[in-house]
Amino acid sequence: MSVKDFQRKYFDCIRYGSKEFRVLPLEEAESRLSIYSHQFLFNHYEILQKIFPVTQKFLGSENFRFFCKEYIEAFPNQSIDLHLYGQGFGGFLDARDEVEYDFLRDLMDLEWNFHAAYYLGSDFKKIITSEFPLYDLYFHIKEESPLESPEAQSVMICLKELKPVIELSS
Amino acid sequence: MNSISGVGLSYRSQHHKSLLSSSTQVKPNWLELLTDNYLGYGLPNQNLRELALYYPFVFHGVGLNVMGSDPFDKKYIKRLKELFSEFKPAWFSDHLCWTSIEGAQSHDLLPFPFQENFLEHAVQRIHKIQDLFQMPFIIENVSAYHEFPDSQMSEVQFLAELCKKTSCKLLLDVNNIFVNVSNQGYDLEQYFEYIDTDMVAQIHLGGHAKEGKILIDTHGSKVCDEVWEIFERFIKKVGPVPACIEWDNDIPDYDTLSGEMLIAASYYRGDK
Ligand SMILES: [Fe+2]
Repeated sequence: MSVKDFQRKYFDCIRYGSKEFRVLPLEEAESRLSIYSHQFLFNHYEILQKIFPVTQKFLGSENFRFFCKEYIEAFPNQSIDLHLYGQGFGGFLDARDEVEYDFLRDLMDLEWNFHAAYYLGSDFKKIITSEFPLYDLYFHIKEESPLESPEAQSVMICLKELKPVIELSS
Repeated sequence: MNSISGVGLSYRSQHHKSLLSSSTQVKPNWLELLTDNYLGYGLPNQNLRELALYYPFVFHGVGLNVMGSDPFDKKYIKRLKELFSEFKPAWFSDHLCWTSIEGAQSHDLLPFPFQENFLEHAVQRIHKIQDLFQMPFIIENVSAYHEFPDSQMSEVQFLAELCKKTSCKLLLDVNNIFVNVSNQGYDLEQYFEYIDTDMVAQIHLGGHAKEGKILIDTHGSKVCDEVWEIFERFIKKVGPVPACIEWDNDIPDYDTLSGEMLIAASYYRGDK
């Protein structure tokens, strides 16, 4: 088997947690391969947790983990830099009917940009695409009483917990 | 500033102040920096500038995808070159493994069968890395959690052949050897048989965890007695190559690392 064919087949195995790869010892093949598939999931999941703490609070840990797993399987990171993972997670959740919060997409964009600004420092502007302009970050919170709605209160409380606090200068 | 010898430490930002404080009693001779923590251009780079005033560096990465079949990532290479040009490490290293395929990243150090065509592939890729960087590059043996039935040689035979064909030296992780011997039943003596004096440039000393009967290379605990023993045998065989303590998870306080560095130093003095 060529190096590339081997790698395609093995990667699929760990990405989807399938056990169909002949490894030794044969009687432990499943548990040995699962070390790699768990690690694959965990590495991506851990960074999503770090980037989206507020989103996780809203969705609840179980739901957050469920959506992360689906997102990770469908979209493994395409950058060597794990810190750049998750930019599309907001759009992924936005397309899911089960997610009820209208403002979630904006919140997730904010969390991602917040993370990226800290991590990338002066290089931040380079990765802000027209899809996620900073000036366009706002919340679709209930119009009638925006600052008193439970969602608005929760967002504010959670945002205050976000660290590190940074200043975004233009 | 560029002499790397004796005991080093794999740097974690938690220990930044201790490393710079004049009251710290035990300090490493040199530092190993994780390249992949400095791919951005943010605050962490300032830490490196402070450390560079006092310590010689080597850089260690996980993202080159040495055994990968995708072309090397141009942006990653560019960033590494920028880092190396600013901080002038004595050498840089990465792992003998693959990490991604067709752009999709595993963020893990994935294994491969020890076959002739993989050896040929490894030789080509390391030559390419040597061409791209024009500075010393060394390769680390990784831990693995299973074997492939179609391997044609042992891990250490593969490593020895690779070194011979590329003049690339080894970053010998003695904990990874112990993990593989334990998980795969590899023959420890073969490592001493095949690894020669001029093949090793650096050693990693780290801890592992036990899950059932499998050892997992967690780098989250002290170096165990068996690994110290392997380390002692290697430095007796290959000479006092520089070694660093590598502790990545559940990072302890600086005193704990000092203890590990003192143990390593005692092996070099031969009074352990
Ligand atoms: Fe290592």
